[in-house]
Amino acid sequence: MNDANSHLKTDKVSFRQCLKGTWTDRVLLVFLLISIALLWFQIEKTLSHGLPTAHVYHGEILLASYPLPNDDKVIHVAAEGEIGVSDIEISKHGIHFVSSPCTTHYCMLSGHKKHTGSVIACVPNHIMVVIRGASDNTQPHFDAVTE
Amino acid sequence: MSENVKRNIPPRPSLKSLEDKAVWLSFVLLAIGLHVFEATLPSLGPWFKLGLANIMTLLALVMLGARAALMLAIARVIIGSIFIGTLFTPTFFISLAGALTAATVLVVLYKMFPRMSLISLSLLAAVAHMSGQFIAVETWFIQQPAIYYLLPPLLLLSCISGWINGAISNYIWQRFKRES
Repeated sequence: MNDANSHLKTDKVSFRQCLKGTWTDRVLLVFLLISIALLWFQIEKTLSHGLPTAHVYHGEILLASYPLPNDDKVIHVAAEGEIGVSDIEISKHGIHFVSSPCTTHYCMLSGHKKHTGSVIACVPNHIMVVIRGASDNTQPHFDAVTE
Repeated sequence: MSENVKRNIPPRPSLKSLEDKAVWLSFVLLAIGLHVFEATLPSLGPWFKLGLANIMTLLALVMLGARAALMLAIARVIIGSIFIGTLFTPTFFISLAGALTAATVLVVLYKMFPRMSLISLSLLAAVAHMSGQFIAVETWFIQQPAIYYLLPPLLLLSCISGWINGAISNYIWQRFKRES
C-alpha cells in the first residue's frame, strides 16, 4: 500500500518541481546572467563619466546637443520627428519628454533620466535622447549644437 | 476504382490531422487571449512585457511541430494587434520581429537539441525576443546604436520571465502527457 502511494506521489506533476528546473537550466541561466552582466559592464565602461551631455537624435541625424545644466536653467528642445514635434526638457533633473505626438506616450512615462548612458526613445516619432559623458571621444565637444 | 475518385472528391482528412488543427486553433485563441490580456496589464516598463503568449508557442512546438509554432507566433501577433488596435503601427512591427526571432530560435534549438528542456528553450527564446525587438528598433526606427544601452537590464528581466514561462509550459506539458 505504501509502495503504491509513493509511486503516486512521485508521479504527480508539481509546479514547484517544474519551477526549479534541471541542472542544465541553472547552468544556462548563470551563463546568460554572467554574459549580460559583462555586456552591461562593457557598455558602462565605454561611456565616459565627464560632464553629462544630452544628445537629441532624429534617426541618424543629431538635432541638438546640450550639457545638463547645474543651475535652475531649463532648456526646451522642439524635436521634429516622423509624426510631429516632441517637446524635450533638459534641466538639472535630467532629460524628460514633456509632450509627444505618439499615441502610447511611453517616452513621456519614462520620467526624468540624468545618469550617463540613460536613453529615452520615442519609437513612433523616431526621436531619441541619450546622455553621454562630455569627454566621450566619439562625440564632438560643443556647448550646444542645433540643426 | 472507388466512388470518390470517380467523382473527383478529395479524400477526407485523417482524424489525427483534424485533431491537430483543432488543438492548433485552440492554442492560437489562447495565445491571442494572453497577448490581449498582457496589453491590459500595467506595464513594468516601456520596453518590457512578460511574454505569456510565448507559452503557447512553446507548447505548439513540442506538441504540433515547428511549422505550427511559427504560424502560431505570426497569427497571434497579427490577430492580437487587431484587437489591441496596433496593427501596422511601430509596436506591431517590433512585436512581430520579436515573436519571429523567438520562434525561429525555438525551432532551430529544438531541431538541433531535441532533449533540451522547455525552461532552457524558453530562456533562450526570451533573450532572442528582446534582442530581436532591439535590432528591429535600431534598423527601422532609431538608427542609433546608443539604443542598445537599454538592452542589458531588459535582458535580465527577460531571463526571469523566460524561466517562469518555461516552467509554466513544462508544467502544462507534463500534465498533458500524464492525462492523455
